[in-house]
Amino acid sequence: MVAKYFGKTCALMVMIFTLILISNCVGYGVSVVDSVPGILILCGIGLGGLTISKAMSRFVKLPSMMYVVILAVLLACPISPVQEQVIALTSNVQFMAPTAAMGAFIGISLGKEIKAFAKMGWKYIIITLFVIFGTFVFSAIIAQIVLKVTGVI
Amino acid sequence: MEKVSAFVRKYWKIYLVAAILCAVCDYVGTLRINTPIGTFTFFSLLFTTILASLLGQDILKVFTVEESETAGALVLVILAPFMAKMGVSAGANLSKLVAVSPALILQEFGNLGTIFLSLPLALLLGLKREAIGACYSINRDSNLGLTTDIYGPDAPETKGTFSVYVVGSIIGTVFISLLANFIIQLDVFHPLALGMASGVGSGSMMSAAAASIAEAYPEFGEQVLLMGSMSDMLTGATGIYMGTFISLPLTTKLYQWLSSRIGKRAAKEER
Repeated sequence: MVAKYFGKTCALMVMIFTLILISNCVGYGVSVVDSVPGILILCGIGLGGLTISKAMSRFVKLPSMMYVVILAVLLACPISPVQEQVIALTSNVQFMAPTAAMGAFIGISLGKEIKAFAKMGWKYIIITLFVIFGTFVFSAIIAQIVLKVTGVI
Repeated sequence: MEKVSAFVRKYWKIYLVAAILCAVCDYVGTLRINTPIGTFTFFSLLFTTILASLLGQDILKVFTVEESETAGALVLVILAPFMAKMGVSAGANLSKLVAVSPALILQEFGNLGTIFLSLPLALLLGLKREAIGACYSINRDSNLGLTTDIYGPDAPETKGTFSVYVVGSIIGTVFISLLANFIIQLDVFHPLALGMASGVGSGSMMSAAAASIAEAYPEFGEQVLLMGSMSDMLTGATGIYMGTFISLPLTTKLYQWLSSRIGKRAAKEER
């Protein structure tokens, strides 16, 4: 089952590789030659993390992005033998390069929710705005205080 | 061979549209609007989201409901290389990350603050038990799963969560871009604190907010995105436990306390 998941995700990752390549080249003016190795590494880490997550999900349920991030941290941290190469090659990939395609996927998936949204009514719109506002602002307040107290800023 | 053609049939339209939108929106690039209170920046993420959502079943009918669901599953796949980039940045800045870790962990509790703001409001607007589901968290996918699990799919609490989930999906990214831009102009928070705050528990909302902050403070650019993604990951990892053990019980208690007061006053005013 894990092998099948790997195969399918691998095919999807090829697709996503080209989308990030488009964004990185068109949006941020990086050349194709410079972009390819970095994007390949990131997609590889992503594929690895997702597959490990799938394999581990039988034992413990954790967000799959945790595995992706941990794998990336291990490859790029000071004890990694490939630290320099990983950091240097991926530095050609802009942080925001994958987000345009992410937006497109989110948008397409929202296409079926617009009618439900239109029926939702103004009360829930106001409440949602307050929920997002509160989550953002209260986190910022606590972060600001703790950063001050611990002397980071 | 059959498998391949099924694969192509399932994904080609989504892929083509995504590729065109990426090329066009990234070519146009970041939009900067100068207003009397400061510069507002909007990234291609916002435009691809808005344009793509118009193509769905409900408006232009380019995509079927099944294709919308397929695209939803792809969000997780593209999030992986994005988070891998963040992880590489985290690995390269490990010592910096350790220095800010107390703030990073404690600000997760800031997510509870929203309850005290939005729950009274929801009750004033006349919501009943829906308010508990609507206000206990930012209501992304994992929270929707949690409320459905605890209260059942037909419960008022689940209706509240689902409503905020849908509204947040549609307008969340746009709103948090505006909000982040606005708060930057106030200039009361350090960019690192704002970066951490952007990790609300949704990859797209986090990117939209953190990118605006990084753009406004270029000297902290990479660190802001790093703080945002680490905080977002933390919210994702702790969200279920936070919801089950802290925020849902807290919201329920506050609801019982408030509803007897606000409810009574509303009843009096009606008379």
